[in-house]
Amino acid sequence: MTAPRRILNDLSVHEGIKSGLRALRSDLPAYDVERGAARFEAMLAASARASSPAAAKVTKTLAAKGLLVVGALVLLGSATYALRSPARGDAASPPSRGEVPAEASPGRGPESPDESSAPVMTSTGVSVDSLPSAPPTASAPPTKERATAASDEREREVRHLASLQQTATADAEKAVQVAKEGHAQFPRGALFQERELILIDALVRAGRHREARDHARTFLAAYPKSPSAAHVREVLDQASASLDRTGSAE
Amino acid sequence: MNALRLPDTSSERTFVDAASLFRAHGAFVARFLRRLNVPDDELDDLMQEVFLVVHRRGGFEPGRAKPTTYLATIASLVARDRRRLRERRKTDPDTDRLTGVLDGAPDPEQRALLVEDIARAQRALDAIVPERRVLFILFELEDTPCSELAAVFDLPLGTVHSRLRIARREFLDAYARLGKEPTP
Repeated sequence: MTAPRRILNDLSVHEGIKSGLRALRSDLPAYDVERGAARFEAMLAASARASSPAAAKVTKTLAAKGLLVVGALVLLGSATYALRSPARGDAASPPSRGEVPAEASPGRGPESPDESSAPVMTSTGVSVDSLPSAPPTASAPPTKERATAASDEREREVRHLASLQQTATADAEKAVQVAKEGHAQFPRGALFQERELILIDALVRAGRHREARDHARTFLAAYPKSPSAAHVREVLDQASASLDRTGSAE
Repeated sequence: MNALRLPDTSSERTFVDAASLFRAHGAFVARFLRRLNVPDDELDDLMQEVFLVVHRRGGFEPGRAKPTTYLATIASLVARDRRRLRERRKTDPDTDRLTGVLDGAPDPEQRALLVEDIARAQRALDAIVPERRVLFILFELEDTPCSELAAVFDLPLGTVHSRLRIARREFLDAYARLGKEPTP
């Protein structure tokens, strides 16, 4: 059987059909490849951390259930739908599970991000009230301007996270600083959990066990079902044990 | 369609990693997914899934097929799975989607005709059976040679020719039929 002739090269095909095909060929999506690639790399980094020895068991289970992809995408990809951080003041201890996070503040509308709405540090680490909460469900579709601004914000946050990951491999103290700056810079950011995980690890490596323990406790209270919860529990045990040894546990 | 021949992970072979492929061929994959009528609001998630599959398969091994053809096979599988998960929306391309094309057609009448042409062609494309649609898109819209389609889809060359002929008939019939229907 001979090769078929392409429609656009076939003189017997009506010009109107060719016109339709040409129009289809010229219909290109406005997709930002660089932004997509940055998101992809951030997702791989998150997956790699979830696959670390500490979290290997959890990762294996998730993979077996076919949820690894979804989990990684939920962590990084579903930016708009991820938990968001409200501006709250002086919360204290971690709340019960019922207070955390998805239905924490359903009635609140979008707030303008400012530094005062960054997650609040308390004696127990980060206030759960200051952790990201769910976005309001019923709202008018965003205008193009708002969508673009949100998109730019996400891109900046992804880039910040990539930079933080780089810093964390070399300098724990610096990573702590950069992670906290990220929390302040993106108070309602979708990558809060990612930054917080890096922050907790960096605090341990910097020998700041009390802070690491407090952050780990608060993280587990807020995100008990996080794919990284097992890893955080291990960090919590490690930090607590270290504080016990030095006699500085509370 | 037969199973794809995918690269193995032998250490002595050279593979192109998924992130590099993303940067080099992301525009192609986005275009290909668009041809499969993936809506804009799902495009980025599907892009991530496509390259995640590539990553989990160890990247792309240069060989018989071009990376774009290899990526198209994966994109078609990801899009198919997504289609099965949710009821596909039967909508014509919206004007936001067509912004890039319409920029080249400043005349309002010309724009209207272009939108109509694209909508009709896209619906005709949707009428092709999925396993043939992928071949049709790569052959007719991306100028992929039949020999490469045969290699990457692990099909005899005659089968590729045969499927392309049937797909072409499906497309032309649908296109003609849609021309007789009142515009929705």
